[in-house]
Amino acid sequence: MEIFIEQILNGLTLGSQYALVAVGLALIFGVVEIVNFAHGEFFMLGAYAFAMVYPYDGPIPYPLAILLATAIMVLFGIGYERVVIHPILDKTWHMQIIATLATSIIFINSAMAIWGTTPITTPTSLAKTTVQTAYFNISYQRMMVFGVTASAFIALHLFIQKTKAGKAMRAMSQNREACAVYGINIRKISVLTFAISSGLTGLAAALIAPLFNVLPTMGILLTLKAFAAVIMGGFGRVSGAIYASFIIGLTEALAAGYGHYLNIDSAYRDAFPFGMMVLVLLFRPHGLFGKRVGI
Amino acid sequence: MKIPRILFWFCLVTFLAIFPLVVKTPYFIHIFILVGMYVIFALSYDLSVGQVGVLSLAHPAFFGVGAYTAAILSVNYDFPPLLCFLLGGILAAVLALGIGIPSFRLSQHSFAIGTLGFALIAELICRNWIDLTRGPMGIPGIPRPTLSIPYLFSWKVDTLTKFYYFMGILVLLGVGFYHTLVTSRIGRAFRSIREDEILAASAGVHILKYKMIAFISGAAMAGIIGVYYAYWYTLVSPEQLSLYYTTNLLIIVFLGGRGSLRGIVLGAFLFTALPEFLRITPQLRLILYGIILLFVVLYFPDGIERIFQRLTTPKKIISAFEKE
Amino acid sequence: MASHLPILHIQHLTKRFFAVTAVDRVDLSIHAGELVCLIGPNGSGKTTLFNCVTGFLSHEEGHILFKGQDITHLSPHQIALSGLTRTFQIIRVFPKLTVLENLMLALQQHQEESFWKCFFRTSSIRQREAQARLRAEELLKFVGLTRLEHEPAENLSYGQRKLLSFIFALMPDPDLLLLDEPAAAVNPTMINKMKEYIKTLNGQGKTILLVEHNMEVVMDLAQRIVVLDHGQKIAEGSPAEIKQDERVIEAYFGR
Repeated sequence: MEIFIEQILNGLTLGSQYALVAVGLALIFGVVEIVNFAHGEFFMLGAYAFAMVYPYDGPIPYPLAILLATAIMVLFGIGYERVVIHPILDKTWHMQIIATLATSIIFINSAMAIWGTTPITTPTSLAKTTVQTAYFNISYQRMMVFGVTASAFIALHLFIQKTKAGKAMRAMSQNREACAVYGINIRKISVLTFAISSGLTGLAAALIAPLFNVLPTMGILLTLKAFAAVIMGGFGRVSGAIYASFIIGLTEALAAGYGHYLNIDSAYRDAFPFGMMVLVLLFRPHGLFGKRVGI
Repeated sequence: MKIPRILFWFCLVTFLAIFPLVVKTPYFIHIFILVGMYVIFALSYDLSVGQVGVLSLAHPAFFGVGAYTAAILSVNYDFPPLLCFLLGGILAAVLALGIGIPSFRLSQHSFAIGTLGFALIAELICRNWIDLTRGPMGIPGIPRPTLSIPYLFSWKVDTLTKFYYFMGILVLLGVGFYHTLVTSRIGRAFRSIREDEILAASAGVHILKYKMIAFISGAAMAGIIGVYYAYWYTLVSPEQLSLYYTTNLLIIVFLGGRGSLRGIVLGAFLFTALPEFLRITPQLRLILYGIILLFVVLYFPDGIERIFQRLTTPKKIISAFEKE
Repeated sequence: MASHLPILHIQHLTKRFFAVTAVDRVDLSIHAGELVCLIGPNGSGKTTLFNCVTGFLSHEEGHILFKGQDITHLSPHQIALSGLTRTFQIIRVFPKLTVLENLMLALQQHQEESFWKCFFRTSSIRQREAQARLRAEELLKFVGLTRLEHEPAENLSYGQRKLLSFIFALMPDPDLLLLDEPAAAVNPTMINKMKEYIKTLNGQGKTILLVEHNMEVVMDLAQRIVVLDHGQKIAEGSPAEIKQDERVIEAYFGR
């Protein structure tokens, strides 16, 4: 029973991480219609940014570090949009994919060159203090992860539904050409989308980094899992991506925890999201919660 | 200035044929072998990316299948090398069939992502199926091959020079296959799909069939070159299936010019030989590659081929306002 | 002699996009040798109908019979191979292929071929290539594009591309030719040329169904006109009849 609860918690944590990242990816894909292969690297850079401002449980308070890391990533997202995305907006999809793939390589190797390949840790006191209940232990850090993730999504939802900018984003995801006619500034929305997506990954990094190691290659698998979530969730549908992220996180955790009963090596747990994604693509090419898309 | 194509190729082939007899330094021969491998590898990739126009990210998996097939069969079961080449190509083709059938049903984005997923699964399997692949340790000790057909010939490839000539033969075969395929009607069908799939379908082209042909032939070629690699390097490991190779391929194909034979050959040379000569750290090299790739994609999507065309054909002046 | 079965028989065709019924129980029959025009205000479902007939869209209800066979579940390339070709409203060509290559492609699929024969260029394949080339040159001459034979299609002007896509659809000598707005977006000289070409073809016995907005062209060419409005067939008849049909006038000019 304890293992079960432990894995559920692991799964929810993973799910939160994936969700924050996948939502950003879904927004980019839905609003700007770009497949951002470097998205996992946003997370990685966010983790390093967090490590820079909060190297050893200080010197600044943790909440401030979270805000700072998020802010840095927001700026990064804006810069990325200007330098990389803007020139490729009107190019073919192959070019877009390759361009973002190229930036992914640049980021990973730059991180290696700057920070080395040895993993670093960014412990927080929250990660070390736990709450003990009858059935399970949970660190404050994890509770924070859940809490902040939930709040972030609520905030995002309100933003998209209620604000003018949010509505513009929704409009653009539905019909880009029409937006120009209605006076919606596509450039600004594009920058905004990247700012938000990047900010979300920065937030995710600040929350999750204390629980795991930070290394330059941490984003690679994450990109693909985020894609898996976006695809399963229905290609750009934010809510779908969130649900799918949690499904992936939980499946992964349960597979790792219980895999040995089925003789599956826990090393394979990374294959699960892809296996699921492949299956979903086979049987429901529009995603589990899909809206219809593309050819 | 016009450079006739035949002259170009003739000079190139002659130079390469006498190269190891003149230049004795192993280092350079080694590099040329590497270039040869990348030429075939890139051409095989171009069949999918350049000719038909599908962005597959699964290619290293086919190379890996070939390499591991040779490794496992040679080391454990002492299979004759020529048979390993055959099997490597066939197994890679079968894998391509397996990946292609579900993936080609998807939209283009999903196809890229789906093939990426398959590539990752392949690498994970190689890394973790210890019983078969020995995991991260890889399979060492692959013996030098003796290519033989009983009663016909037997050739033990055990020196660097022999490997060089063996590679030369494979390159000739690979280039010959690519060129023949691409200039045939089949190639025309490929390019029609690349240019406009809907128009091609409305003209009777069976889209899935031709995509599969390109994908599977490319996979077989990659598999065969994977087998060569196994015999040459004598060690295969999961690194061979890494996405790093996809990047290299993308650079060569996009820089060289998708769909262009000579462009890709030159691209393979530039991107394999040059870094060897430059000797910078792997990270810096990759950063440079990334920047170059980004630059090329943004500003020179048609690559070297454009430059070639300017050198070898006079520019035609076309008036778009000619009377109809 | 000729059977009285229609070459194309569309029965109760219905296509819905979620809440919108783009094509609503349309019946349409075309007999061999006819030249029929499909007209209707924008959004009336004409191109959707084309897409259903040519296999690019599935449909919810109804049957489409081509030469007596139900082509409902065939994919576009199979339908093309059975003798039904089309042009597109937004001109499509293969931009980086030459004009000649474009045309060769249009025919090559209709000539039987196996992979290995094509790969090794056996004599039967070379023969077929020669045949295709002859036909391409014939058609290029027909529309006056011969000197552009080796030009990449992307270098052609809009009007030239229109002609190219026209003869592209003609290459395999189709039993039924679907033309989507052949007179759109070109100058009057070209429009007249297109009319002449279409008349010539029909005179030679070609069955043609075309969608058109240009009423002058429609009245000049059509033997029979079918009118769609909001997905439904609201009228059918000779040009003279349609000109005076109240429902048609209402559909175009509003109530």
